[in-house]
Formats: sequence, structure tokens, C-alpha cells
Amino acid sequence: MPLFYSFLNNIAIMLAVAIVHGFIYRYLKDRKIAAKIFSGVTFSFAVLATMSNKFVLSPGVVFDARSIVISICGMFAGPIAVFMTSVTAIIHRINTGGGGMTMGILVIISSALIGLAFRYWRRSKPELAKPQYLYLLGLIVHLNMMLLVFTLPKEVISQVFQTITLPVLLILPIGTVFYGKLLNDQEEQLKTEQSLRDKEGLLRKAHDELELKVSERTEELAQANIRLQELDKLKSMFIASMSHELRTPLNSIIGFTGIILQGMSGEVTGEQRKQLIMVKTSAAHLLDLINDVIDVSRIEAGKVKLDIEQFDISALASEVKKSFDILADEQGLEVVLDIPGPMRIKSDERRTKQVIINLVSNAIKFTDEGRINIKVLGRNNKVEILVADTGIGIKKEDINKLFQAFGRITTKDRLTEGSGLGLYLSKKITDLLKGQIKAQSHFGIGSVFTFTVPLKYQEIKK
Amino acid sequence: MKKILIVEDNEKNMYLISFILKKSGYEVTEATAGEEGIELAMKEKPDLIIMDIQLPGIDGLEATKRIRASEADGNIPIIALTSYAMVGDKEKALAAGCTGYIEKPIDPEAFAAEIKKYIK
Repeated sequence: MPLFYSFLNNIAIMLAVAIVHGFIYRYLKDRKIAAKIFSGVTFSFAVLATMSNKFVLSPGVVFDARSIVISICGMFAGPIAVFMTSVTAIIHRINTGGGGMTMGILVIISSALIGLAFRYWRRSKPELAKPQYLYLLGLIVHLNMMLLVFTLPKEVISQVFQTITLPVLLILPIGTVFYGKLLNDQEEQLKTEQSLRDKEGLLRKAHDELELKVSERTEELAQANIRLQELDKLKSMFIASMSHELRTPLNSIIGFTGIILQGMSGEVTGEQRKQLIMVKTSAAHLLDLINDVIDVSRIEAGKVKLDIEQFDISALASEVKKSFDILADEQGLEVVLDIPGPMRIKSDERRTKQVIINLVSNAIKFTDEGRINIKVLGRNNKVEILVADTGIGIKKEDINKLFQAFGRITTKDRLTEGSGLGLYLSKKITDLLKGQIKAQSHFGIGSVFTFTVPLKYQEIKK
Repeated sequence: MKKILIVEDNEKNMYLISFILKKSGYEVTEATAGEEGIELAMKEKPDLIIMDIQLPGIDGLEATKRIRASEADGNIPIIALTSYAMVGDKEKALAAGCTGYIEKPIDPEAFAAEIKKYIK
């Protein structure tokens, strides 16, 4: 029984030392050599503690659990530590002396070697840290110990076998399992902590990199935004400059021909008058072109703002018709207006007028004889304005080109004074007003242009 | 005889406007830059000022603002000459203190009549 208790005592001490070792070891983990030496010291301390709590069978024949300490030290702490521990144990055993000294020293050495063997075996087979294998270690170490009993003085061998066999083979392997498990768990915990620290480090690094990227992107975006705003400003300034530069010379041309024609600069002959009028009309035409080009530029640059208000579309159509009466009369054309009573719609009056004027102007331009019909009617939340003429018409294949910029089409050998932008501009304006515009025609007979706008202009919010 | 001050940097435009106004019976003073225009406005106290908006140095709007700031009472009508470049040009002219505006290129037939409407 005393041996039993002695072994249990030893195991308790070993475990306690191991726990303390665990506390301190984590601070040394970065210094490998220092850590090994520290382990060596702790295990040495543990082995001394067990050897001090020994069971004395007879003077010089002592038993303790040093085999556990040393074998586990070999397996878990490695060569440096197990060497230190073994040396400590051997010195102490020699000091104790007695007949069992040889066995004692052999047990120490062989436990160390078996422990180291398991350490290296573990490299290729990590499951060795599991309880069943630790038990195997314990079994091998202590069977070996029982074999070494034969190195004892002959007279005690039999007594020793009787006394220690059961306790040794029953308790010590289990002690090995507990000791090994404790150390393994400590090892695992350290590994997990390290792994967590590493992962944390990686995460932080990734986070920092991401933050850097985000701030870089934000900077890039801010720069791009500034550039876009500058570009936008440049666009505005360009259009404004264009407008100003193009109008300035026209001021002189239109102005001075006007003055001369009024007779303010002296008498004007018939022929001079005739020629000056041609200059004047050309200049007026040029002005129209400039206005169209500037208008298109502004629409393309997205710089046109609509002025949405309620107005009477019938009255507007009537106004436009009246403005063309003289011109139509000159060309011997009849203009007929077909409107319902007052019809209020909500849209941009100026721009709507611009489109109607364009359509009527085209109709008159391309009609030699007959009539122009301007019709207004309301249908399904929309208002349709139709401008029909008995003019030269448009070929089927040309209808698609009508609304293109500078789209020239076959016009029966006619050279018309147009900017080529009129219908293009009308189409762009119609799009802005959220309406539709289309043309139908029979070549040689006439055309109908239909311009549709919603009764109530609605801003579509994205 | 009523006096009109023209502030315009383009010499052809200046000649044109000046010619029309003289023929219509007005006395004409000319300034080719904003600062000169402000000086003459204060010195001569014309019955109307024609102010081109695009001027070197301080532009027509700024000149208008300064003239308005220096007037005690009896505002001189200031007509802006705009070239319909940007949206809001007209509004800016009126906001700076212009009484009215005329778009370039001017209509030689109607110009004199329009000026007559504004002059004191």
C-alpha cells in the first residue's frame, strides 16, 4: 500500500509542476533555446520531487515515478530537456547509492530513449498524443522497467517482483497518460493561441491593406470627380465662347447692311439694294445656323433646362400659324389650322413652339403648291400636333435619315437652304419633352409630320 | 440732346451702334473698357448706358454693379448687350442691376426704337 500512495503522490507532484510550467512557458515561447532549457529545469525539478518522495523497499532499493517524468519529458520536451532531466536524476540516484543504483540508472536512460523515440515517431504520426498511445508509451516504459529488475542484486529480485509488479503496471501507465495528456493539452492550447494570434495578424494586415485601397480609391474618385467637374465647366465655357465668337462678326454684317439699306449712309441704287438684300438674307440664314448649332451643342452637353409651365397649345399653334401667313402667301400656299377649343398642357412652351415652327417651316419650304394643314388633337393623355403638306414628299428609304444630323436626302434636284440640323434638333427637343416625333410620306404627293407630347410633362425620378 | 454712353470693346460694334444712335439724334460718348465706362458714367451722367457684357478687364456685369453702387439717386438706365451664350445670362444681367437687355447681333431696324423705350 505505501508504494501505491507513493506513486499517487509522485503523480500529483508531477502534474502540479507541469501546470506551473505551463503558466510560465508561454512567456518563453519565442526564445526556443531558453524555452527548452526552462523545460529542462522544470522537468528536472519534477524528477527530483518524485525521487524525493520515493518508496523504500530496502536500503538502496527505491522506487518512484521518475520513469513517467523522464519518458514524457523525452516525448514532449525534446533532447535538451530530457538530457538535463536525465543527468539530474542520475546524479541524484548515484547520490542515494545502494544496490538498486544500476537498475535506477538504466531505468532513467531507457525511459529517456523510449520517450525520444516516441517523439520522433510522433512526427510522422501525430495521433501519438492521443490517450491510447500515451498508455502504450507508459506500458512500454514500465514493461522495460520490469525487465530491468533483473539487474538488481539477486537476493531482492523475487521480493521486488512480488511487491512492485502490480502497482507499476497498473498505476504508472495511467499516470503517463494523465501527465502526457496534460502536457499535450498545454501544447495544443499554446498552438491554438499562436494560430489565433497569427490569424489576427493576417486579418489586421488584410484590413489595413483594404483600408489603404479604399482610401486610394476614394482619392482617385475624388480626383476623377474634380476632373469631370472641370471638364463640364470647360464644356460650358467652350459653348459660351463659340456662341460669342460666332455672333460678333455677324453683328457687323447684319448691322451695316441694315444701316445702308435704310439709307442712313447715303443713297442706295437699285442694284446695290438688290445685292445688299442678298447679303442680309444670307447673314440671317447664317444666324439661324449658328443658333441651331449652339442649341444642339447645349442639348448634347446636357446643359438645357426645361421651363415647365401650363399653357394653351391651341393658342400656341394659332400663334405659329399666324407668323407664317405672310411667307405662305408669298409662295402661294394656303395654311389651314384645325384646333379644338383651348387645351391646357403642362410642358415647355418655348421648346414646343420651336418644334412646331420647324415643322411648319419645313412644310412651306418643301411645298410648291397646295396647302399646309396644322392640326391639334388630344388623345390618351397626350396631345398630337400634325403638320401635313402637299409637298414633294420623302422617299421611303430616306425617312430614317430625316432626323439625323446633317442627313441630306434626295429632294428632286432642289438645293434647300437648311442647316441640316432642324429635324435633328426637333428630335432632341422632343426627347427632352418626353414626347415622340415621326414622319409619314408619299414621294411626290406629300408628307405628314406628327409631334406628340404628354399632356402633363413628368420628370421621371430614378 | 440726350446723351448715351456706349461701353464696348469691339471697334466695329462700337462704330455700328454709335452710327445708328447719332443718326437718331443722340449725343454719344464711347468707352472701350469697364473701368473707363465707370469713370465716364460718373463724370458725364448720361441719359442711358449701353453696356456690352463681354469686356476685357472687369466685365460688363461688374461695371454695372459698381455704377449702381455709386449712384445716389436717379438710376441711369443700363442696357446689357448679351450674346445668349449661357442659360441664365439674361437673369444675371438683370440681377447685376441692368434695366434691360438686347441680344447680339442687334437688329439695325429696331435698335433705335428699343433704345427710345428705355431712355429717360
